[in-house]
Amino acid sequence: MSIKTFKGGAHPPERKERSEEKSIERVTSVSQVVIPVNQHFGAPIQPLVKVGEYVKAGQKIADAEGRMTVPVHASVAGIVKKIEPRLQSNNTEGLCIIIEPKEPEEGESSTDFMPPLDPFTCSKEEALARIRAAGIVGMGGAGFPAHVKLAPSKPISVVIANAAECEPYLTIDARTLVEMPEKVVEGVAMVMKIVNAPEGVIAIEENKKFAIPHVEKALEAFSKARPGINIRIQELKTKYPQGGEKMLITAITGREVPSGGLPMDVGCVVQNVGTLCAIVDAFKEGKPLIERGFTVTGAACKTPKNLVAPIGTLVSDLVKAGILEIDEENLARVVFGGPMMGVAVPGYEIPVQKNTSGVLLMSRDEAQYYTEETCIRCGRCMRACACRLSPALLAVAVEAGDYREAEKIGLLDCIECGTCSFVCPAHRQLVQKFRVGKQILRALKQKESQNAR
Amino acid sequence: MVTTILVTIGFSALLAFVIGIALAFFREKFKVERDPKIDEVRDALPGANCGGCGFPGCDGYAEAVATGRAPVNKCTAGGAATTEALGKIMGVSAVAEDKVAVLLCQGTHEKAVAKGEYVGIPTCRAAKLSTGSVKACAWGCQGYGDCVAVCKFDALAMGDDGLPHVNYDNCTGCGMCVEECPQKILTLVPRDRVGSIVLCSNRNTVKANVIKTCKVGCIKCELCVRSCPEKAITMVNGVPVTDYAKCTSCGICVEKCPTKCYKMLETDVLGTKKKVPVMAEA
Repeated sequence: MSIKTFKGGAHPPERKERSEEKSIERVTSVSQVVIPVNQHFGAPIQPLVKVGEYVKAGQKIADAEGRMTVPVHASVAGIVKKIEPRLQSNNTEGLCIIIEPKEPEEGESSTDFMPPLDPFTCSKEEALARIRAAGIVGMGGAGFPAHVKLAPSKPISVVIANAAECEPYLTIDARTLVEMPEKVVEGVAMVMKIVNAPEGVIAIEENKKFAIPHVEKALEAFSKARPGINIRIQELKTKYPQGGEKMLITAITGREVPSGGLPMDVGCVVQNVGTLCAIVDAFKEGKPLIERGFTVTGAACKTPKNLVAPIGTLVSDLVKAGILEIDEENLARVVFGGPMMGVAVPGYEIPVQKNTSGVLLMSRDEAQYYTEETCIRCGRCMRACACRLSPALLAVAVEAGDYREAEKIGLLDCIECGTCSFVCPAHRQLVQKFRVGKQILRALKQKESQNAR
Repeated sequence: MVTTILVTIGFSALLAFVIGIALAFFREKFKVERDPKIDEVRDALPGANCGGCGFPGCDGYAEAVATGRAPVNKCTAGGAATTEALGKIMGVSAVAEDKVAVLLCQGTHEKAVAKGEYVGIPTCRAAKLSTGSVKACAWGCQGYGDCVAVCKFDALAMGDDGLPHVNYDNCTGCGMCVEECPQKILTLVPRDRVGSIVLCSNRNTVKANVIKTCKVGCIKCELCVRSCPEKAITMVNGVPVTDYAKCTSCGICVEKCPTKCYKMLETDVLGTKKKVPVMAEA
């Protein structure tokens, strides 16, 4: 099998060894869950329950009208204790529904799942409605509504299961492949059916070769059960940001997503393996997205683990329950997500959300930072940029406040992967500047379009 | 030798004469009509190019005024004198709005709790983007001086306490800082306004959370609303707002406020009047 990749990128230290071998552990009992109402990318939604109400696991507790909205479900059965703003993993305070678990009354079930649905026989509309009703968003990090992604306006030829997991530290996708390959394969098949794609690809990076035999076995079993569905494995070179949608598409199909375009413009749909598993659960068990797998690791974490926990579980509660042990003295930084694109948060009393792929407890050594120095014109950022931009020139334009120039040389095409900042020998805070620049540029453009009206 | 020089001079003079006539001819022939008012207005403007009017510099504003697209009182840098001059040119009467910028936050380093240690790009916008807010209060001043950087009139300076301080003598009310502030906690207030103002923007509805994050935050006790004899204070979007048509500057709200976030504009903030002890007034 040939090994494919994209142009550019970098290879940060992987540090996956801590949790790579640990099988996924299920967290069943928690003392409370803090469920952020808005966990998706799109229009805000509103709570549907009141304080004091009893909710079942899987019951819808927040929703709103609109295409870019995704409902939220109770992840445990219990009493709604509070509805108030709390700190979320994106570092902002947002409305959260706090539920304290309580056993249901005699004879009552503690879950409220939907009836199973067969995606291979139902209509496309039914399938998409089910995916929305199950509250599924992209679980790789962005939280993009899955029902929008799976309703492309253009024909799709390839469905890619993203198991590249190019972020260092994180191992949950690899463990998912090892432990439930059937689910991933079935998920790919379901998505292929929904978007009517003839080909499915499971993309795995070289450093997760150990997972490939498991997936091969599952593929074999699946092709016996449902012959005629074309799914294959594609091995990829270990390189960051291999797991970025656009990079993955280029590596596998050789197609390039146009500037300002979406994967569907080149006939591709990319879904994270976690999302695929959630889709399978939504159809086969009728279970909404109420729990997710994530990796807890880092040098300040004494017990690196891969966990599956209810959405809204506070990391601090896991520590209290003895599931995690933290080296408090050595703890310097807490990051939600991967080390390259994750968000540094002020503590670990923060809930696990639908898009939390990992919780990193970094030691002082790991969380080093450097003072920014002047650009030495080495051009390493240009060679590393996976979008083939020129970060050095972009930085000059952004620093000078010349957003028109920055736009011309592709500021809005930056995917904010952070490879440029990583490779810069002068420790320039490049991606950080671009993030600010993109925000200002978007505001400027919005203002202009308003003035033009 | 001499003839060569003379011929050259003569030829140059002739050439200059012909080109001069041609230039004069084409100048009249291809003349671009331009409203003389634009130049008149432009001359009356201070020429700071601050952009406070919302137009691209004084030239942009002059054109907008002359063509009637903009009111004459937008130039805050020039103040009343400029407004009057522009009004005379345009034949309209207008009153200049003399405003100053006021920071609606008192969360100094000591009083407001920091969320963590921020080590990124030292601008307010970058800090807000990556941390939500560097303070535990999501609405407070970030303290990296984006407003100071945009001020063209040297009216803002970062204090050691971590907040920008407005020099009301220099402030022209151009509003550049108001526009720049990512937290939108700078506001323009008429210079001669009297009455009370709440110097807090915290919209957290949970009282305990406000107390935890800031010592000078509005805790939504609504004592001010209840104690105001003129019923001039109402809660709007989580913070009390004074109706200046009703406010008599009695100072009861300032006195009652448990966290001292209510201040008197004329004495505590702008300093347009001397402070009179409440006891003496009674």
